[in-house]
Amino acid sequence: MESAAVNPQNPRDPGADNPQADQDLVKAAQSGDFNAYDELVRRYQQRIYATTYHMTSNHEDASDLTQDTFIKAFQAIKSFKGDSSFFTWVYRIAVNKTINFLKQRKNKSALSLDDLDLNPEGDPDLLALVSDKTPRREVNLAELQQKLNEAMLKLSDVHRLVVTMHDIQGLPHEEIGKVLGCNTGTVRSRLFYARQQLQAHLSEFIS
Amino acid sequence: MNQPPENFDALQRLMRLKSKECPPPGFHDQLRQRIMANISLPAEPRRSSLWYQLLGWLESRPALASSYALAGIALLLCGAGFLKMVESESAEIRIGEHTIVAVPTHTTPPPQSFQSSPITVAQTPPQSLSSTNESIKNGPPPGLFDGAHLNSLPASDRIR
Repeated sequence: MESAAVNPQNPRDPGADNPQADQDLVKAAQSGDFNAYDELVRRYQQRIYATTYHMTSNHEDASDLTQDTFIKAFQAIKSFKGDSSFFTWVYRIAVNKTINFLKQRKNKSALSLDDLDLNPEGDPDLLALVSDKTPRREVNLAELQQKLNEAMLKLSDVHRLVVTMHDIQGLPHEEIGKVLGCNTGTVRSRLFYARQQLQAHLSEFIS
Repeated sequence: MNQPPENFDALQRLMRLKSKECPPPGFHDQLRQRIMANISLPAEPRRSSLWYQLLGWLESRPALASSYALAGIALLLCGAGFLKMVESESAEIRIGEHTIVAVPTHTTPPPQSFQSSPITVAQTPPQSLSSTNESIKNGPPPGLFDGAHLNSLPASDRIR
């Protein structure tokens, strides 16, 4: 099964192992090489999708936003100067698109959890997480997932974004600051506030 | 009193659950193919025309498009109303012209007969003149001047 998430223990982006290759791919894509851009899409689409999904809590919206992000990035790739990594640049496009989308979709939250595959049987970590770490042992996984999404949707866009990038995707504060265009202090304070809010919303699951 | 520092370990463990959410198998391959298919599509030539650019611009601004449509409809209605008014005015003028032309043809004798009629010279003074002379001789008709209401001066004040 594919996973849209990134292991929080290894938050580096896929291209970080071979940053030169990323630059080469970008240069090739700038000169119109579709295969090079295809490789860039393959590297980063899961993370972009995961971000947009955790921001929108909707599979279709996340899919559309991911597609729009990479199309927009391809159209603008000639203007990419390489001041930041390609990942940071494309992530910024995704974040801007998602925030604009959420502004238009205000007060309209559509959850499509049925479209997603949680498959706890195949994931012992997840089973342990649900059975041992939550006070309500009998909790239904789907219900818990829904509660988590509802709690996330109660946060403001920027706070949800910080939680998504840090606590779910495992990005470091510095990287989040680069994407959002703010300093790490702001990232930390937003993260602290967002966690407080989430903790209050999810108190029944947290002892 | 100092509060203990916030402990978010339990929350972070719970949030790990969200990282397990993922789309069905094969979804990302399909998504990538869709993205690349969209990118490699040749730009439609008609889409680059000015008309489609305008349509695309208006599509993203529905309120503006609606107001333009309303303004267009209002202009059309005004134009139609103005045309109707102009047409009715010109019809009235035509009717008026017909009346002017029609009146002399029916009330006066034809010019040909007028020109061909012989000019007659009066042999006797007109009747009205002779009647005026008679009225001077006989004085005013009775009752024309009511003597009781006439201002009359005494004889001494008369100018001689």
